[in-house]
Amino acid sequence: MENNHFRLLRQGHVIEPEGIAGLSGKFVIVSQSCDIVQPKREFIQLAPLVQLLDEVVLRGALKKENPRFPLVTAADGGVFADLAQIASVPKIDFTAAPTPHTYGPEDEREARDFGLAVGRWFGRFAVPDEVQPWLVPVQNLIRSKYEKPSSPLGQVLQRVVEVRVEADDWSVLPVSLTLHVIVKAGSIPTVSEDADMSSVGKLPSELDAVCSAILVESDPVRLALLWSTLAETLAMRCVPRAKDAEDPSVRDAVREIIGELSSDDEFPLSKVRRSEQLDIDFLSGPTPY
Amino acid sequence: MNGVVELSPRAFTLSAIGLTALALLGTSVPVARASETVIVRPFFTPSDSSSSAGNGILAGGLPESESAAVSSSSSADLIAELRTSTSFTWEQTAKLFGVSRRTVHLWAAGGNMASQNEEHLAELLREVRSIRAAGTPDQRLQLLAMLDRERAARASTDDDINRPASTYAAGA
Repeated sequence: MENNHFRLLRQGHVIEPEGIAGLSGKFVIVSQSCDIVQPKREFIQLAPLVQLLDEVVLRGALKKENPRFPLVTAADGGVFADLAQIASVPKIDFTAAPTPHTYGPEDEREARDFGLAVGRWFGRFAVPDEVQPWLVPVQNLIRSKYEKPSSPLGQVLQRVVEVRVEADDWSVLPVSLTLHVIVKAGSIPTVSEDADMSSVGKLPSELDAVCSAILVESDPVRLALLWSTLAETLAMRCVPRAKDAEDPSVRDAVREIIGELSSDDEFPLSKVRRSEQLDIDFLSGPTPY
Repeated sequence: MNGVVELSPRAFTLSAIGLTALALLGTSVPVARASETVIVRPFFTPSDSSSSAGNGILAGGLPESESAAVSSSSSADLIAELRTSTSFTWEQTAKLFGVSRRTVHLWAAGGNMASQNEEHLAELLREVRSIRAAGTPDQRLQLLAMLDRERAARASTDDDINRPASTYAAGA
């Protein structure tokens, strides 16, 4: 291509390719920025901008619960890219440089957020259908409480960066699962090597009681143990609904679920590679999608 | 539910023990996962860690005397023995199992161990006892080699679900 009409465009920019390849309306560029700019890449991928009329779908998309619809702009009640309707268009069809719309990422972070959202839609690991019902209760619980800082769990979740799930072998059912609750470094007291664990006394085992205790506990060793107990109690919430459990393939899909607590500065790469983020990744705030 | 479960910290298998056993133990632990193949791990209370009720699962194949010695101790006691015998830190002990050190803290306080970790603990203790009994001058090196072996067993693999994508030639 002699004229590179795309050199000023980036992933996440919104354009109006009116009449090109039969497209009309506004589209967000899905292609990675290098592929947009480089003339040797012959195609550009575009996803239509949509508004979500269904209240439930809209609410879910605004809360980043639906990877199909990453938010492009909060203007006009929320405008989203529909990643299920991506079109691939020959760059040569553009006879003039497309003008970026005012919509689109306002800074590098927003641009990166959009790229991550695209990657998530295509690259996220597909948890086996039989296992998913085991995870839904804890996903729903965290989603429902995260935005309620008045609840003990809501307050505790503010310090949780990510929740990941690991299986001993995803391809062989039943699986043994580990629910990794990863908190911000420094949130949990360091336990000395000679700490006396036998003197901590009874710990609560009910989720709300654990969270309430975390918020008021002053003894560092006991506080550290309460945090670990939180991971255990969240893992215990991973039980399929009665309706789902009627299906033997669901009921028998999981052998065991344990909870494990880590700080984000001590969660090893080997476990990152073996685990998958639960779809509740708004936890860490600045990293949506 | 008063928020505290009065149960042994031991893991057990529903299929092996059955719901009746839960009733006998007088627990209010939810048993919604009452599948024949599902393992339910009753929640722990650290102060109950010395209880032997619940009969946790231990490594198969241990010599009878050692199995008896291991099963007569709580997981917390065994973790304490492992740490003392090896002089490993929390972090090093955690790496023997591929868990976070926070998890080992919980075990040391009498918390639940997954059945496979409980089995592994028994195996490791048997090995550590053997190394110490031999009394060779390179004991420390043998213990560290054991640690490295366990770490290697949990290293990243080419089959990890989130391994890096294959890279392609620059001109592709």
